[in-house]
Amino acid sequence: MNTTIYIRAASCISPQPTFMADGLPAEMKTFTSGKLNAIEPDYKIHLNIPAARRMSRLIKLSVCAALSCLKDADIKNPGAIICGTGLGCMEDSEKFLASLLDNNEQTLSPTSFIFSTHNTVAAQVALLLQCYNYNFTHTHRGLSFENALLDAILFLNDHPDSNVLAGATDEVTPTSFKILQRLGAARQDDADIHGTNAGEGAVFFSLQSVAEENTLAKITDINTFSIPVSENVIFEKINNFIVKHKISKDDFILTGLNGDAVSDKIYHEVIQKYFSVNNTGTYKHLCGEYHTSTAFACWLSALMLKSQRVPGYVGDPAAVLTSGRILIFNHYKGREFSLLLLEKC
Amino acid sequence: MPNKIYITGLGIISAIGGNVEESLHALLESRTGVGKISILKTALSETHPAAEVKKTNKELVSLTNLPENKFYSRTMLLGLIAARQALTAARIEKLNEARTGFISATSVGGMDRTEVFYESFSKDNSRGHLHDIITHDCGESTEAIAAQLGINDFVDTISTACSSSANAIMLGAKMIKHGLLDRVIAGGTDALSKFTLNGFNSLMILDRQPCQPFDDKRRGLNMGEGAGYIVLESDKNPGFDQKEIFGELSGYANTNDAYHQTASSPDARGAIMAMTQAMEMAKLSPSQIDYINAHGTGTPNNDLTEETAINNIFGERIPPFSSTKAFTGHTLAAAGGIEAVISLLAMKHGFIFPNLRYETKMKEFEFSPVTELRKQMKLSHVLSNSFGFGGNNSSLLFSKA
Repeated sequence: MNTTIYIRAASCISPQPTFMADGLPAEMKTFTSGKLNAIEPDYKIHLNIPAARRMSRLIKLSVCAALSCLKDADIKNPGAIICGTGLGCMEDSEKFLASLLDNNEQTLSPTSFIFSTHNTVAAQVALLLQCYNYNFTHTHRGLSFENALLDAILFLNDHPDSNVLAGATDEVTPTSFKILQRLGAARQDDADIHGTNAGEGAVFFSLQSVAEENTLAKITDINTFSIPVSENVIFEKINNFIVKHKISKDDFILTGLNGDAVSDKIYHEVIQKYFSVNNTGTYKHLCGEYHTSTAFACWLSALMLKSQRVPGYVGDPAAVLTSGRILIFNHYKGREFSLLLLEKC
Repeated sequence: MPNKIYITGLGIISAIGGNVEESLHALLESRTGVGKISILKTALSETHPAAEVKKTNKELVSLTNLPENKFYSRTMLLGLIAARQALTAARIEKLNEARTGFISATSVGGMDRTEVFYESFSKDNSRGHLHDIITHDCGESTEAIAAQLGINDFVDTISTACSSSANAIMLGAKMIKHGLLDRVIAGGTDALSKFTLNGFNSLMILDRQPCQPFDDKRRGLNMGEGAGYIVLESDKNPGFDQKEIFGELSGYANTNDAYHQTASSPDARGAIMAMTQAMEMAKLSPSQIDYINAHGTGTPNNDLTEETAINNIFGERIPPFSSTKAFTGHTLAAAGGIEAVISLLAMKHGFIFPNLRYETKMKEFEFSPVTELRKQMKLSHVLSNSFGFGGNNSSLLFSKA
């Protein structure tokens, strides 16, 4: 199977000014703790449709990102729509749950239930585009985006002349943040070595199996694994990927470092073993920690490869992307691990 | 690249039985699982029948090798029981001898525990047991089952509403075809929850009596719960020759109706495309289909759309079809897995299971589902439909190996 696919266009809505930005934003803010909400686009411009009235914030963000990505890609009707989401439409789920408890399961309005389904975003995009094609939603915790990408690779192998709209969406709500705090997953301040920030985002990519003049970057390969039984197993899997792609100190690594001492340990070890400290970067201080944060990392890496530079908010601006390759290495709470290799075109 | 995908194991738990044998008996004896809700604590238990697995969580735990713990989600417990059956049936002892994946579908994951948590949390957000919320996300049940089975190479969760587990099976087949895995345990699991029960009730598509799929006087669906998994393998796997083959997955397709977030289109576009594309993949013509295990929820909208699709595709020669949801209730994301198991049992034993409680022909069409058990049928190709919210339409095509 050919694992290489090409990014024709990408659109990112995040806690940073990434939406409709012409390339990499000049500056981004750093957030080491707290709840990071996405910057909402002006819906009057980007989502001026009657259907938007009933959509929750996450659905609106996601539909905006998806439509803008397709516009950039100049694609009216994608060959497939594939989404990833760790928690789906939380706001609608909470609303319906609260209403059924408050009303003792009587006379409920169905609206929030209708939109709480995990495949709502993929479905709403299909509905707006009148797209009758393959429509999938992966909801596998810290691998929801990676599994959506893998699905896109499978689809493009079966349909090499087609294209895929693939993306990832997740939200942090006051309720989910409160729960993260109680779980000890929310970092108090910069001195705190436990927990991290909490973020969200809606990121979409237009993917195809051939390179073109405007291609942002190519995704060379993905590897994922879950619940490793020991640290040795983690290193064995990482080592296999590194050997397979002859990854060296010339390559840049973008890790999911998030400030939590336990979670960060493995990143430091991998960097020390395989990479040059100058060729490293991080991204979760920009978008926050969430199940599909690697979609933000993928968008960031694609733009870094296109512009051939490392912005100061990611790593050492003096770093040169010598090899033209970026490895994204992430794990979610030590349970789901992913390696995603991107290359310039 | 292996061309053919075989099914070597089945696992099922639902209101009609805790395993394949019990389920088959219920299907042969026309014994429905729909009845009064007694396990789930809900205000709707007196008014809305459902197809409940009549075992408490504690009793379900005793059917697994898990230590006692009141925080397991019911979705995970049902899934683990069925997935392990499938693995055992496929005579898989050494997982490492081939690359094995687990792809599970669920619509609301551990919502049954979330409801317990949220009841306290909503009054005071420092309350609610945290063990009751960490199973909330869809991936939790999948990962917990995978960990129990010892699978960590490729694990995925699909959530596309009521077509979810048909899609999980489809993805499993693609992973094998493209050489990424050698075998996959695929299907889905969903427990009854107040969330989904009330959700469907708020849409006014629940039947207050036992449902009557495809009947002209149908009133809606009955919710169900359960899990169904099948083991997909290529014939290159070690020990394949000694395995019992339940059938081949010869075709599959997923399409989108793009009509409405919850309703299906009057012209049945998505459903027609799903069935047609699955047959095209298998290089079969409509006249070669011997039985359709329909989605047939019992709602006015779904059943009309599905009959429209069947009429459009099969025209003068409508194949025998029935919905087994009058037995199992609508098990949401588990439905595609449970009905894949039922379709494979039908094909293997030459049975067509009846569409229970059917009385009056739908006025729009001149054909009816199968209402009596048919035996000694020669079934070479069986279609299984799963249609979900968000216009998500999937068809699986099983053929005799």
